[in-house]
Amino acid sequence: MSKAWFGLLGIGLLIGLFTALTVVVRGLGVYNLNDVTFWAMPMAGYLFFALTAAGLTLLSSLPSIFGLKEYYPFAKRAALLAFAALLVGIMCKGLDLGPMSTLLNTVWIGLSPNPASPIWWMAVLYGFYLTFVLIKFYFINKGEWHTTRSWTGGLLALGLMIMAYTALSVVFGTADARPAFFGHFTALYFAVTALTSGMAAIVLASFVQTAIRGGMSHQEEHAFDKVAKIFAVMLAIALFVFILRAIIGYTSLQVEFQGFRYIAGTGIYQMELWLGLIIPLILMVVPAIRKTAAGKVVASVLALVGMFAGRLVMLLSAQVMPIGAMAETRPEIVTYTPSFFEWGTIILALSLCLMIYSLGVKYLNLEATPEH
Amino acid sequence: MKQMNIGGSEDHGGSTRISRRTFVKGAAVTGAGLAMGGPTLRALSTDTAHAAPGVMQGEWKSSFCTGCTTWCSLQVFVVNGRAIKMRGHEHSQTNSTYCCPRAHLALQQLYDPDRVKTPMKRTNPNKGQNEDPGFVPVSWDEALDMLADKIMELRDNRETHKFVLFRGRYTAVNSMFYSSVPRIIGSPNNISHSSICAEAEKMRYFLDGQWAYMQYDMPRTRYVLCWGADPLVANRQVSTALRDWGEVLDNARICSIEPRLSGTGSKCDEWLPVKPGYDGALACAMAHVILTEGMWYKPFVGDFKDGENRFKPGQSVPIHTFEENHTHGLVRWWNLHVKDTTPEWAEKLCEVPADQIRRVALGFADAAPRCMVWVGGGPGMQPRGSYASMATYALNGLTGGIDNEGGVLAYNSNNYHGLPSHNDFIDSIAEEGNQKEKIDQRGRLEWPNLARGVSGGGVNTNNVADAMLDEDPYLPKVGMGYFANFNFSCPGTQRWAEAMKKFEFFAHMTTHASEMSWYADVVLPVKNCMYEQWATLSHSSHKHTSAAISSPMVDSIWDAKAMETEIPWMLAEKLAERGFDNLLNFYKTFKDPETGREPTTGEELDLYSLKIRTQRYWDPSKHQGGDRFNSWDEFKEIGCWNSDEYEYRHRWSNMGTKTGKFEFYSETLKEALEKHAERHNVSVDRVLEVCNYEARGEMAFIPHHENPYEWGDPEEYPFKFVDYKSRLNREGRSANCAWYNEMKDVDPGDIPYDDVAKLNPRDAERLGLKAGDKVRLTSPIGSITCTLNTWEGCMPGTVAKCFGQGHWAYGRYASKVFGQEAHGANNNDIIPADNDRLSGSTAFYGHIRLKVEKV
Amino acid sequence: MPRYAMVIDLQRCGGCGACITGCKNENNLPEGVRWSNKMTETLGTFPNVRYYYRPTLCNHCENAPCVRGCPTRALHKVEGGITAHDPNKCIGCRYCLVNCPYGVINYTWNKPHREWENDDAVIPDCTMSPREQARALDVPNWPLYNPDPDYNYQAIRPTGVVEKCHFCRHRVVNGELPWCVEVCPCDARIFGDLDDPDSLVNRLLGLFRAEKLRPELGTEPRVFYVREFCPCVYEAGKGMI
Repeated sequence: MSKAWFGLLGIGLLIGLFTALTVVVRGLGVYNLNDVTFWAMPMAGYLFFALTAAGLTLLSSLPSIFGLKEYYPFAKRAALLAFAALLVGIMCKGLDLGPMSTLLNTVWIGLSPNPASPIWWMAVLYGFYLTFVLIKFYFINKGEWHTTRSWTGGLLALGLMIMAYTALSVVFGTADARPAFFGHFTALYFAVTALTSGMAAIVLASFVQTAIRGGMSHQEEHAFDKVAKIFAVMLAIALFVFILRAIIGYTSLQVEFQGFRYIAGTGIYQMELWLGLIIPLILMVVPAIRKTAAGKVVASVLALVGMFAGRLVMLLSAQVMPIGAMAETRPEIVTYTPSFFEWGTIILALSLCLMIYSLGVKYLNLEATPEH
Repeated sequence: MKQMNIGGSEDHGGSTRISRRTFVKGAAVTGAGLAMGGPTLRALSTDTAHAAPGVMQGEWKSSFCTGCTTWCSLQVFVVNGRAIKMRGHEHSQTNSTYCCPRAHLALQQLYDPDRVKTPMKRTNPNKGQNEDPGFVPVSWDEALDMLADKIMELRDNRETHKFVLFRGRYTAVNSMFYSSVPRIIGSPNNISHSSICAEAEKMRYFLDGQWAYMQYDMPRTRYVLCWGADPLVANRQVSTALRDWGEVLDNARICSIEPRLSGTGSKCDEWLPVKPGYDGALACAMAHVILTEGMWYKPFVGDFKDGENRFKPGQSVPIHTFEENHTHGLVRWWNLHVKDTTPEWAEKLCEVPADQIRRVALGFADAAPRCMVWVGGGPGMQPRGSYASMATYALNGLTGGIDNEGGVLAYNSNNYHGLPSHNDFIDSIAEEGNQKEKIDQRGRLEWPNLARGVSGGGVNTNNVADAMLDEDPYLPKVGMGYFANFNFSCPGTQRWAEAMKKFEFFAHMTTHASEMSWYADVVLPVKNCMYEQWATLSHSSHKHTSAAISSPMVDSIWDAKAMETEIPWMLAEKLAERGFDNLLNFYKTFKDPETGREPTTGEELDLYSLKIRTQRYWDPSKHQGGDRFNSWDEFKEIGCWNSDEYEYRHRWSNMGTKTGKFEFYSETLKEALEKHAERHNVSVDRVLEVCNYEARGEMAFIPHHENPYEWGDPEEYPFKFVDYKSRLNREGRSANCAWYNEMKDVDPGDIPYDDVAKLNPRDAERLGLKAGDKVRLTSPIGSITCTLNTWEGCMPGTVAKCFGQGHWAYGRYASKVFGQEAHGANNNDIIPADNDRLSGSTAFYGHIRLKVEKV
Repeated sequence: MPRYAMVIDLQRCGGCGACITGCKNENNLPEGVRWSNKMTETLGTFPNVRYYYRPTLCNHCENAPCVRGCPTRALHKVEGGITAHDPNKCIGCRYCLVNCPYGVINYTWNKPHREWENDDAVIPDCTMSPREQARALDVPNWPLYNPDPDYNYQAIRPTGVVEKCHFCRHRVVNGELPWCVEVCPCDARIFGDLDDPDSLVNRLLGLFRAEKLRPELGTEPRVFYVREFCPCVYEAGKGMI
């Protein structure tokens, strides 16, 4: 099992490495992106992993910061997973910037800052956030659960998570030219979906753990059921926000929402709704299913797939209707199909994330909790 | 040096090298220009073109445009031997610094990667579209040896008439090649492209004596009827029309009469979507309204002697009651036809509502004489089109908008100096050959081609294919073609594909390996005459004619030669080596007007012929008007000569018609037709019958409506085809320009990188078709496949499509697979070869029926 | 300091696209990229139908959302209010494409003019390959290479950054008009200084009720449109019930 798993991840990494090298050498021309649909699959990868990381960060902070001790069994795992997800998320964004020459220009984020730019804040805050998530995990891994510096690191990671996530929301929220990003409503939507995907990720991750290590302690199992319940609650809240968004999108008089309404008729929107929300919710509210391992796994996998689709929904809604002069010579609504290399970017991110986590499981004793 | 930082704005952009001094200087110049207003600014910017050290390190060189027959005077910005930008000629009083979008595309014709860089010969003896010629490079020597041998063979066999020279586009010295080479060799067969260009439009000759294109006095006009003409888009004087149109819209009413909403139609007051083929009916109905309402322009036309308008619908008028001034035959025209051509009658035919006809006719006449009918190829280039062409133009006569302020003007003379005559160099063999019938059969009973009223006076380009296939009057053996691609540009392309195979030897002189080159035995790469050689073309607009010259201004990276001078010179040398030196001796008479030196090379001939042609501009002793230059060097620097300003009303009662008047009853046409009939010993009615016209008797001599002659049964082919020209077409030659493909959407309804047929959305819905579908258009002679677009600007029942694409050769962008598969579709594959036989014009409009099917 | 602006007289505009081609020519734009572009519409139903054309370009907004959103100030304001771009600072994030309501910023997805690196000749030995021709002409990329924009931008922007209209800043600061203004055969583009009360742009802005694109967004464009593309006349009437 373990060999097969690492073999699989290895293949994924190879595909990903090939993708990354190609992109860094040739630029983004290898993607099926253009000046109308310019933020799509790789950007969706960024949003998906970064927001999942936000959910995981919160989860890992529950015991130490909020004193909810029953979540200790998840803390270390969630911390590592948050780091891994954030790292690959940022990598997705990196592979969405351009070839090496463009990547080198990112030094100007430091040398020529623009505090008026939400993207600048986002970049800076995510940079710090990543650092502190790593620091936090470093301390936990050293067994420092209750030292001041560990606690401070954890608090800063949490704080930066909230700030970075806010900056990310503002990136979309202030895009006056693109109302179909749903303005500042996006902050709410990001918040609930980030938590939902974080929950889903931890549920699934615990099973990767079980699969590799075999068995789960009683304490863990207990906490696990609790998480599953919160997961169900988050799914319900997310569904509510989803419906709210649909109402806004369908009733808005702004023409730009035609893009949303078009996307709402496509498969990815249905995926977000059914795979991401309704089916997992049903699975999780039925106690008989919720209690089974298979039920949790299926629900979390579906939720994650749906959430990923949701990121694309969110991005494409504001792009498929070309604006201004871009509309010239184009249909009212453009279509978008990701290229091999766009899938490659996601495969790279997923493989790397899982690889980091799996190595963690294998070598870093992720089920460690503070010794009482 | 301090980096600029003004008023807190920061700059670290790109590679900044501006010092404050430079910027302040620049800003001051800008400010000064702006303070003085638009025109000053433009002039100023021209003057300061070299002021700034950082930009514009080059020189504006004189040239002209060969993108259409307007031949605008241009300038080329040359940097280190490389042409990089275009603009109108600052010294021209015609188009000035203004140039239409075509001009910029010329740069990509020059630097087209697919230009032929060396002479080449075919290695595959089999000719055909599906036969790869297997071109391999050869030296100029070898290529011309082959050609010279073939010509000498004809001379040795006393069949010099079997030599044919095809000409497409050309420069103003073309006669030294196009006319002289065949004559000196001994062939009557110099075949130009003229009849596929616009000859039917020139039927105005029989009304006002102008076998020519016209200029249009836009700045002063008050009413414009664009009749089958799209001056903002295509031919003629597009640059000037674009420049003036904004003001024409202020000053004048504009109507576009055309089956599709054209580029000009989108900037006009009224669009009259006329059913293809019924322009004559519409024009006659307008004439009817103008006459019955007493709105004709009396100072030009005259009036009833007692002032009482006797033009009552359906009623004949006694001829003696009307006294004409500068016109002839108005009452006869009325009595024979116009009395019955009511708007209601016309509405049934042309589908333009009668009240609209009435409104437009009255508005038009109300603006008289500052009004114009801008007649394009549309109404005339149809079978039987001559009379519609004349009918539309006749409205200019009724309203006095002819040779008058705000009306239609003739070209000012370009004052070109004649070239030396070849008459002394025609030997007896040539004499004998020159007497033979021309290959295009012009002048035969069924081919009156009445250019300038002469039976067989005009060329019959598209009939050459049939004549060759029928070997009637004979089969030519040796052919040359330059700047021409009849296989692509003539309707009924399939015939040309067969005909071209029949040449024993064909030499194609071209910049690109085109469809015609595919059938060539040798291909001779020519220079782009706008940039790489000495040449001149003239242009008329804004009451002036300007003649601009080009020069070898760019570094040539191809082993190409000038088509009308260097190649003939080299050929002449080859013929002289073979003991026939008449051509070489003829060219030696092209002495440098400054030094009297004989040319010793093709390059010298190129220069001297231009100096001779332009001698009246720069040689004060030969000056005949217009700009005066004191020396060749002075003229060469400026590069552009302007005529004196047009004088209005000089042609009134001096029209060059038989009566000297504007002839509504054309005595000139009567004489021409009678001469043609006499030549063949038949009646005029018989001529008309053979030539497929409906008119009989006196109707033959007046503008009138003829029912369109159509190919195809309306049941089987329910749609009519509307062919038109793209605003990016440099005739058929720009399809391999990257910008042409990328910019195709500047044609309303068109799509970049595609070639679309446009259908009214309701027609498309009825057929179950939608935009983006691949459709097959089938006419009785063939099919083409292209992309469908739906467009409201398309008249229901018609399919509109730009000409220009569908090349299967020419280059990487023009074709989908070079030499094999076309990109888009060539309209000429489905346009049946037919003609307006009086003018000799090939038909492109009105006769084409087709069906549309989803592929 | 001047405040540059452009007035586009739609009545004069012939819809010919010379500005688009001219801009591509002057600024060495790669295939598929248009700084100067257009927005067209076909309205009505046959036979009452018209085609409308509106030239577009960067509006050089006073409150430029692209400048506000650019994380590294690669997009920035320079002399005369020109919205300039520094490709050396651009991180390719394309947030400007999100923020620009006018759709006039392009990202360079592929190597510009890469078609000139092709080695295929359509007729081997008889025609050149694009690369061969570019070499023969001694140009780094494409035959029409115009070095001028190097003056204060980059003549050809690298792969992986955005690029946009800079009002031909290299020309303007040297006392030349933007090239789209020069090549417009209709005199439909009028360029000038808003601070100069006598400038033609100010005269026109005083004569006509100028239209700005998407004014509700508060971007304050410096490109103004006056008059109608098709100012046609019609006969008066009161209609009917």
